[in-house]
Amino acid sequence: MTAIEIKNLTKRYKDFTLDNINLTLPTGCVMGLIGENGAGKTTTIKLISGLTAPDSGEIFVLGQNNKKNFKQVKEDIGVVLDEAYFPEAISAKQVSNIMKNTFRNWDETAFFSYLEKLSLPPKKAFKDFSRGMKMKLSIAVALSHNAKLLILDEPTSGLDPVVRDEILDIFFDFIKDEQHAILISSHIVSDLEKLCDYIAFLHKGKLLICEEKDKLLEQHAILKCRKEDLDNLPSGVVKGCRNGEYGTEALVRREAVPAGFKLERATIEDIFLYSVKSAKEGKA
Amino acid sequence: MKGLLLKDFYILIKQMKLVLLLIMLFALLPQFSYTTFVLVYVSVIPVTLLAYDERSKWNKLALTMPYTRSEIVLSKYVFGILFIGSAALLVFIGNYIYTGVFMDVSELKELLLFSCISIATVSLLLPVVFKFGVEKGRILFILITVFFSALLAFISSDNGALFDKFTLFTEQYPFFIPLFTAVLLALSILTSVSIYIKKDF
Repeated sequence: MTAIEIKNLTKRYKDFTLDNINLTLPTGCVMGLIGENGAGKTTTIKLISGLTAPDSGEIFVLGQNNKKNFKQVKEDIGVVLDEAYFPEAISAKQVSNIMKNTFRNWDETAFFSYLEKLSLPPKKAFKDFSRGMKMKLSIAVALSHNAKLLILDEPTSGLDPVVRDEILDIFFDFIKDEQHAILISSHIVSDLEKLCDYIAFLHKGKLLICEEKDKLLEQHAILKCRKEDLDNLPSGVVKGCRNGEYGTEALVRREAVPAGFKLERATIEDIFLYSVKSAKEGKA
Repeated sequence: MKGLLLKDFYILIKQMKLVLLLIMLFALLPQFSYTTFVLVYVSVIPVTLLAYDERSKWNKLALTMPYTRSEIVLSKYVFGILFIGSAALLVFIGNYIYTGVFMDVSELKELLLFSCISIATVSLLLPVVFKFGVEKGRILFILITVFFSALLAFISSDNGALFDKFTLFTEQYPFFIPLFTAVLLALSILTSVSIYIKKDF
């Protein structure tokens, strides 16, 4: 079963187009959506959640087209949007009462234990929350109705490293169940590198890469050498390079590099930065 | 939909205490002109609630939850009508406290008439606000309010002669006003839903 399947998805705005996106997230997996600000991460997530209608293409969530009977499907989805949009005056306790009358499977006990774990005050008004607390409340709500799929738009931004780590642990726990899946966007690439099975790179509304993380890491490597050496390599090997004072650093396709070169492990961040760089230079 | 109504109820209690207090005060005052005020004032409550929703961008969040767009729209109407009903009840009770007897038929009819006017006002306001938002809708909102005030002033002018004619008409056709309101309400809901379904958030 697939958690999310996106086919030929296009959405046009005046100054931005999300262009023909195709991606599939199998259940039991975590997909990281990586991209700069304005790359189309939030638009993609809004389209999946049904906040916005696409110009063309189809989206299937938990096997169901999100244009039909989506209300039923939404019982099984926990969404954290780019910001927490709760009414200013209400408290976490009141949020729980509202959700009790919203989600069939609302788990009050789970919610209050998340509040405690994330040190959120149950009676304080939402408007007096810090940005981090607001995001934590959103996450607690998304996790407290036995969702099968989490859709998370930069859930860890604005949080300090300790809390970020705690929340990543919660996500790790969630994904232990093979029926579960997570789509998470972020520009904190190191968070995603730990958590994700699949990585999707968005750049200016286009999907540059969508691949298993391990494959990406296997296929790519960092080569540090002199610029002349790099120029002598066969074409198609180098996927992006940066010329520095003390030599050149390049992202290369590991299998295509001739023997004799010393290769270093590429991180997802390297692969992302070089892919975007070469996309900007028009090579990709 | 219960969750949506509960959320609006919380906002009402927490952010509109003064308005609630005023409404209660005027409802319990022994003068029918105040009840007019009460019922007309009550009809702006759904719009005010939408203003709070707009400010917190609650609609985005609500759409990620198991609600259809129609339910989100409908909840505002349901809340408005429940609130108008409660206010009318309050007026009824206030009248009893003051006079010691229950309202007679003609007074009840008048109460029903003003309740209908409130529901009609809600029906006119909500599609405008769903379409243009609270800020831009405000101008139209003022126009509608002025129109209704003028209408009321017109009806009650002329030493009540016109009002008597109007009363006579409603006596002859007692179901005209409620029926008219019901049709207006139905049209309003349909319009609001079709506006809201097309919205991008």
